[in-house]
Amino acid sequence: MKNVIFSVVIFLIFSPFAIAQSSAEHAVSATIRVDAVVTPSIELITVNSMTVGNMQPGQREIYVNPVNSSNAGFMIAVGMPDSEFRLNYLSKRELTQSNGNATLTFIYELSGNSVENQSTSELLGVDNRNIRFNEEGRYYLWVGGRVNLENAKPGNYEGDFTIEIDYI
Amino acid sequence: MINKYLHIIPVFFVLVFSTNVSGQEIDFGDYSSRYTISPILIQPNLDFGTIAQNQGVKERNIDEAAIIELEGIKYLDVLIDIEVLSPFDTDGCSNTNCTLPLTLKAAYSNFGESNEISAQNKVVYLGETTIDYSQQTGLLSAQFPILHRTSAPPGPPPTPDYEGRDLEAQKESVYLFIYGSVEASGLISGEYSTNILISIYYD
Repeated sequence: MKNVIFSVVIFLIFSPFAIAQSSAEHAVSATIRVDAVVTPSIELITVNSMTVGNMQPGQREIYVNPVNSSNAGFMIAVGMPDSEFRLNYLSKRELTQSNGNATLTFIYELSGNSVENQSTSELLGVDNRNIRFNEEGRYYLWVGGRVNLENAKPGNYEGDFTIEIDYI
Repeated sequence: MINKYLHIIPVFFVLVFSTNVSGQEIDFGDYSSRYTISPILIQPNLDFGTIAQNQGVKERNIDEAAIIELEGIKYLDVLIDIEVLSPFDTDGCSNTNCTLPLTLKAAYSNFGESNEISAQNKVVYLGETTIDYSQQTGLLSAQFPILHRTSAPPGPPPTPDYEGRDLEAQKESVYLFIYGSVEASGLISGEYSTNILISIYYD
């Protein structure tokens, strides 16, 4: 009698698991592969800063054409050869007077090329995808832009240029 | 001798009552071998692409997800387990600087959509989990019907399967989306990979 009661108790303990197993036994499965390629970080090297040269009296605007001006800034992005990347930049930045409170709004323009040739570089929008490092892991950038001087106070102005590059 | 049995009998009754509670559920999937589920890998890869060593978090959203279509009996519930089988690492290395932390997300669409494109816009978020490689844990599980039930009062139970019944007319597709994010911080460069196992069975 004692053995019978123990058997019933043991059956009741294990029977719920037996039912759950019977559903899982009919399981089908699928496998998904997950991939990533980790590469050395991207470097951005500034070779030349942008300059505006001498201004003429009465000049209302400064324009540095990134495609053909020798005053354009020049940078090299270095990353994984042949890999695609995303490039963003802020086109509108405020320049502040070094010894005062005046400001000027600078509108940046950017051009890029996979070979080191400014004149064949292409203008880039503020948000670019599908740009690719060349086989040496380089991409060349030229920085220009325009600023309106009509109400500008005399003085020196400084500002920065923000560019962001990420692998896709 | 009688005292010994008095100790055993209360345990016996507790077990009898607990079995009655779970016995109210009917697992229709157990009663016909013709209730099949067919997984079709529409997008078999979850590819995080290229990521810089210290890039931080990189997301793959639902429009870049791995996609599985599950064709099954529309009035039955399925149980899904999504499990990462091994650390997301590069060959021959298992240190922390060569293991990519992975946060897995999943969603499903069981609204009778005809393809994965339209299904992507009508999903139920299933959840997310950050895989803990040290404990080998990180499992996403869910139960849902092949075809979404409306919020109306429940209808009669489904017709049990019988010989000669056309089950093709009872089939519908669920779309399962698997996506997520990785976080790169001080990793060595290389190709990283792992596999995710999705187990599917009827309730």
